[in-house]
Amino acid sequence: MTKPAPVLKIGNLKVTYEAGRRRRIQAVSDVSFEMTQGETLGLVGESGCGKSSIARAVMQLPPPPSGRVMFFGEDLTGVSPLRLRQLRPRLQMIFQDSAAALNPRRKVGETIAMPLRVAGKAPRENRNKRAREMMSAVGLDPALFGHRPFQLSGGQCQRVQFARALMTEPALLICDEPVSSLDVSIQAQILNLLEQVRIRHGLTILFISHDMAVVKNVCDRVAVMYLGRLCEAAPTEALYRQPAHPYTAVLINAIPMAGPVISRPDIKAVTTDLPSPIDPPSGCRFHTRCPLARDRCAKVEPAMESVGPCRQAACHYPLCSG
Amino acid sequence: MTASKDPARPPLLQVENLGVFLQHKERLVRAVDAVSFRLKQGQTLGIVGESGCGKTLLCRSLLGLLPGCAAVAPNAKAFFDGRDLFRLSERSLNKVRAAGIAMIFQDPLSSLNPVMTIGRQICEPLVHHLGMTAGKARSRAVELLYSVGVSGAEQRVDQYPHQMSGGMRQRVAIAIALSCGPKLLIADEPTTALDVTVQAAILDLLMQVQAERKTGMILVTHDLRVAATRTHEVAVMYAGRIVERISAGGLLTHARVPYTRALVDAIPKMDRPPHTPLRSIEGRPPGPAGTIFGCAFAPRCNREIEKCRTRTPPMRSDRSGRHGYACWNPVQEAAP
Amino acid sequence: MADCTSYPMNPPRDIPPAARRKSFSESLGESFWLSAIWLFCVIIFAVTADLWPLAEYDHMNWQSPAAPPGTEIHVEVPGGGRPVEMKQVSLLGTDTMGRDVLARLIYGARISLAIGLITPCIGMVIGGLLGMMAGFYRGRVEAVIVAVMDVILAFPGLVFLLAITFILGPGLNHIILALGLLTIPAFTRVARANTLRCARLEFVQSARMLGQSDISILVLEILPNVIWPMIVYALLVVSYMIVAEGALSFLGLGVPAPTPSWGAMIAEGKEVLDKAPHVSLIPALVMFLTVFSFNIMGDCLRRAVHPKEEQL
Repeated sequence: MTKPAPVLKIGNLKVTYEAGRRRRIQAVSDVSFEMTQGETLGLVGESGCGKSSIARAVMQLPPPPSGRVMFFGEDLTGVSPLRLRQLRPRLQMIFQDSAAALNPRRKVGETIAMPLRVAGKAPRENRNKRAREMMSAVGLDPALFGHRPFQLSGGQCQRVQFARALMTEPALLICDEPVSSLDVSIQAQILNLLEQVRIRHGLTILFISHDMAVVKNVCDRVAVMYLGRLCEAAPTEALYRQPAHPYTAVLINAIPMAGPVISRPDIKAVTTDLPSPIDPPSGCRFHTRCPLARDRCAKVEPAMESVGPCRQAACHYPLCSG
Repeated sequence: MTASKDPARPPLLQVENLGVFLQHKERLVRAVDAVSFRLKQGQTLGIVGESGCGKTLLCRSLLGLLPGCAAVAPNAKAFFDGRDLFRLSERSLNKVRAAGIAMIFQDPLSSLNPVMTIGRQICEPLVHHLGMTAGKARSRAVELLYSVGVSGAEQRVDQYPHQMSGGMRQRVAIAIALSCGPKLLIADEPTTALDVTVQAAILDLLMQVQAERKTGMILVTHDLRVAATRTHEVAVMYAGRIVERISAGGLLTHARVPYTRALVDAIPKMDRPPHTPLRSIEGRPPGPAGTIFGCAFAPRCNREIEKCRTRTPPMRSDRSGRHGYACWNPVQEAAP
Repeated sequence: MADCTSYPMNPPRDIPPAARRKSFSESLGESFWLSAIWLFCVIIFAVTADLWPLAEYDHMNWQSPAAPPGTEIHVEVPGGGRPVEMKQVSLLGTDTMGRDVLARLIYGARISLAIGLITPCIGMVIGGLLGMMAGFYRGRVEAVIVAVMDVILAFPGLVFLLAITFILGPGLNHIILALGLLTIPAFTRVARANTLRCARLEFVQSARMLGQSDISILVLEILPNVIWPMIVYALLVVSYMIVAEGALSFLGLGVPAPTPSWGAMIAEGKEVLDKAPHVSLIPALVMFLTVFSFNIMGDCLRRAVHPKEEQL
């Protein structure tokens, strides 16, 4: 019996931006990973690492210049526009800034009902009824149907986003920093909601964040990115207990908390001068900030290699191997 | 992290009964209510709270930077260096600003002037408050930039804020704040808008500055982990009031006010496996309110008793006097 | 034991009241409604001009040219098949050819309002469409549209109007057409700026995620965010156009005689400004009040709508 196709399989993805005249930024260079059914994959990195660009490339907004995005075996970059429109309801995204993600001139109830309206399936009363049901399901008072986004709090706006995304019954949900701008107590509520929704709808989730503590709580596997490339990908517990790539160790060490929980608390970045994405460093992109860099690191770019069961890292001298 | 060893010395900043009133939707509301604390030289006080708890207004009131619709309560006092900040004339208050108390804001992109070079922005307080000449001010500016960890300071001094990264801009803001040698630094969420590795570096810098110059510091943050690791004492605010005052080491384990405990519980823990449900608090933090009867947290509290809704709990302290809590039904046992 | 009374209110006495959030109709203000009343009156009179007992606007009273307000004149009042001659008090006097100023004012309002109200509509529809397309599609589409608009803006408006009048001949429709075309670039700008602001926000991407087509996104998502700024701007354009018509008539390029228009009336009165100032000043005052009212309405609307925009 053949294995079922992974929900998402990214192959050699490249995303570039124009910056001014004739200057191109490689936001994402040659990234590949895959996600199986029901898995929550965390994509972490600091600003400029390309994680949001990957999210948009997966959603084909806009389609990436090169690379493959296989969704249940179909290459989204290669399908016809009609087929893409048919597939769209099955991939949904939740954005960080809910004020920008909701049309300010529209009532939130209508925003939630929008997916049904676009699909042209149900008449208005049915649509609104289903929207109200969905609002209850995500913890929103249905009486807020007629409110506009500016009348709701940040946490409530996030719930509206969830409600809208779930209306189409997606298979894959991409969350781009969904809790970064929320207070701690609201963050906890939204993360619990995410978990509830994941179990109830059997979702596969790509969770993008810069907060390593949140990611540890939410994700089964984690992929770490730096300046457009993958540094490491591993199951969560293993990654946090024993990071293989020095950048991962740097990130975990930067979390402010009482008491160390990882094996190499001494690893800190040499400098906080971030290299420019227009002119990335030669060889390993992290070598300018890596406390363990050696000669080879400046010359040869490391490839993703296996460093353990289900683990890969792109480092010439990983902190743990095999 | 030891407190100042000289108990006889008066505190650097002593705030008594600070209240800030705000005109909000046709009502006069108390955004900050009955806040009292004292800060010794060389110490860091962390103020922790969620959005809307009044921590930013609290900081701004000390420097007279309140918006037009807000005002300080008449019976509030804030003694800095023996003088009450709220009784000073605008001229005297101006002398206190920058040279006595300096502030670092959350978003360096908006707290720096985008059309002035950073050199000019650092020189401004030097020329204005310390009366330096332009040449001397410029070389002092370069020195300051080096001391806050900006490499290549001679070139950077002529750059504009948009040419620098977020972390670098915040370092510049710190340099501006330190330029006149203030005795007290107020940092209002200085690292919230920055990347995680840069956050750690900026907080390291602030602690280093404090250790070298023995400045007092008020660090406002919403992140309890930052408060627990980077301050000496923490004050937790809710709905404009301080509900708990505790040493930084005890914040995550020995908090007694249910709100503080709930906040600690809501933080995703590093030692739990993925998909562990987080203990969240029902409802939302309240906006500015007119009159609050009883404890503001009572509607959301799982330890609520009858008294909580009708009478406001006063701040009580334990036997050592160092842990203060305002709760009718405080938690007794330490967190696991 | 402390309850809330032991935390005294003690508010400071001199705290200034802050701006509170008003409802939409409240935030419009009294000046909006006053202006609206004036404009309502002007429009009602203009539309129902035939029903009022006015003199014929082109009946020349050679016995009393440039007569001051309140003079008795012979007028021809339309009624029952044949115009009837009778004596009437001319409320606002007569112009240099003895024609009743009040009648000409009211009939002239038709011209001014027609030009003032129709031209922005042309600009809004065409300019709005082009602006939204430019802001949404960017790239070459935007470059072409912006270039065309720059050319129109750079072209001297008066020369353009002269050319149109020369080629097509004088007439109300041609003036409306020409002025309408001249308003297009400004509306394109407003529409494009607002589209640029919205199109990069995530809710447009969410719409794409749902599979909405471009047109659906433009109409359902972007248009509601662009229409209000355009309406506010349109009210200002109305006043420009009324003044423009006045200027054209003054130069003799406007609607041809004998159709009255406010600008033509002002022009005709310029010879007798010293002896009979009312001939120019009355239409000038009416034009001023009308233009001022449109301006006020535009301003009030902008202030009322803007707070919501800031919620973005």
